[in-house]
Amino acid sequence: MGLIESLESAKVIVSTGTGGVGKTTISAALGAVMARRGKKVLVLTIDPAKRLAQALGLNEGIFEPVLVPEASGKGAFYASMIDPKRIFDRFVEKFSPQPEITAKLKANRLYQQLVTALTGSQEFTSMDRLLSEVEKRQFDLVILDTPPTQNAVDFLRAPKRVVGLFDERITKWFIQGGGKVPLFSRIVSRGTKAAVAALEKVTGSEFLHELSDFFEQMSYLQGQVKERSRRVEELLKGADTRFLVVAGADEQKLEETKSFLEELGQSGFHSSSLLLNRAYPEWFSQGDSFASDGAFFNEAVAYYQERRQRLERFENENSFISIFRLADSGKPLNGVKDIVKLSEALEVL
Amino acid sequence: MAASLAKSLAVQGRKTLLVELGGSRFFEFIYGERLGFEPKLLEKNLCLAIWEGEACLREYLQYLFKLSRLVDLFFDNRIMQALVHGAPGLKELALTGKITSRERRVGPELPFDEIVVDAYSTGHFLALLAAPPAMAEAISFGPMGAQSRGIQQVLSSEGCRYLVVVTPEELPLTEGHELAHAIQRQVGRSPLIVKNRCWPSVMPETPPANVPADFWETWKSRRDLQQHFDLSPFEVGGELPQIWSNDNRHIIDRLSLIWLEEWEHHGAH
Repeated sequence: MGLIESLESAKVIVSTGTGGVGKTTISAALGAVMARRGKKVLVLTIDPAKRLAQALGLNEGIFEPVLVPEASGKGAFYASMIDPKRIFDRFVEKFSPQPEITAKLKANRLYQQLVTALTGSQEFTSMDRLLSEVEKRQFDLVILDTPPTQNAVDFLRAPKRVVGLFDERITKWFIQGGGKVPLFSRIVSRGTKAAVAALEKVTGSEFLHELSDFFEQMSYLQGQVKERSRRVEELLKGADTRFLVVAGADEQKLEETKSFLEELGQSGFHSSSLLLNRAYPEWFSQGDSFASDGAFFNEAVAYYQERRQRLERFENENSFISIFRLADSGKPLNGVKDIVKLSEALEVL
Repeated sequence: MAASLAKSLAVQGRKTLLVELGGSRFFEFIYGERLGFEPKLLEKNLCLAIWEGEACLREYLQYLFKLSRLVDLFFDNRIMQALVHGAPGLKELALTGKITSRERRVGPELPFDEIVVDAYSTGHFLALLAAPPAMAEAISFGPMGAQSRGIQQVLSSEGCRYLVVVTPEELPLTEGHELAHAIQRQVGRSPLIVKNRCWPSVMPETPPANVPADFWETWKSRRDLQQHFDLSPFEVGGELPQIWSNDNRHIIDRLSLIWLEEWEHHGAH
């Protein structure tokens, strides 16, 4: 079964992998393939490279789906950027019981940090946006280009961390007494008292005050945070969701990717495909023997021949994964035409 | 690149610590050694460590409280576990705190002449750099605010140098240039840009027999970008050749020799 066939029945495709492997470009190209096959597709991406964003018509400040006619084929290709701050803010506005709580939370300085660049917030908001788009049922297929992580598995763990932070057993320590009673006197457990005292020594009372205030306001939303996360997990583990793992072809990246795929399977996510992007240059993939009197070229050929052997070995050792190799055209992405061209290369894998 | 730089410093007799941030464990794979938070001697003058936020925080608390029992109590506590894993900025601050601890004289001694950090890729690294000023702004009083300001001071000081590594291809050059600008905005320091995987700038006049046209075109394109892509106002700190090898240790060894030659001719930056 080819790459596209393995993904064609999906209603959600999660494109994941470590940063810098070309995940966003592949997501866009995959969207173009599916649109060509008649589907109405939305590609959701966070912080794309400037040129790719321009190619997709994603100008700064535009977060609603944008139609890209040149990549739409028989169907329709839409692209949209994810803005974590905007999503968090909307989430708060939508689920806060009173406008005062929304205002207080937005004014909290830790909240302001949480919604911008901090660990977990991008992942949480990406998944929330995915869920919203799927629930609207406006698209046949939604492709989520996940935020760049140091380690691919971070993406799956991040939402649990956010939910863990709003666990009611935890927040109650910080909010009992509605903030009027000092935090320390609210804590009954001796162990927690000692731990909070240690935290205060490290951070200071101002930080604890902000934290307490943050939890107090967030406590009104914790049910929604948990509920949304539960629905996201259900969606990601559902029969209509597929994972596409995009990776580089370096050996140490392959080992990391293998662990990630194993973890995906063990965690109950559905079968996934592995795309080794830029496995070797196009010219190399088009020939078997190269005899030249160019020394520099010959060195390159020897290098790619060895790499090909290593990749074949990896594929043989991991036959439980569907692995596809994509050659590198060596040309920079200059516009939608190049995305369409790449999509044609994906279609023949 | 970071490993070759660290190795060349070690070869020159500088006691060097090479640090990997986060969980990719690249150096464990390369060196075939189990690495952890504590520095491990791998070669003469060269130690390696992997630093993650939680381990840095644990060490800092141990340094502050001296009592292991209290530190264990803190990390075993369910509330603190949730905070450490999810509280805004805490891990980033612990990590940048550890990186700058030697200069701030806070925490256990780090007996090294040089610390080379193999940092995160673009977006993650900028988020890491953004944490100390953001926290300093949010928390103006108390130890957290003071530590954040101290960290920011070191990250912006002469003692901290930034290298942005690019390859001579359009997208990496553009992104590297943007990253250099972002670092400059964030810490007020100009990073050096290092071009890696450079192909020979002197090409034969005509393609050698049987060399595919694509390869020839790629060579010309890389050469032109390498020579003409405008990276101003940043200084280029080195041009390192493409080494056609799938063996990372071999690449590190070769590049470290090139760094040494470069410094012999031009002096270290």
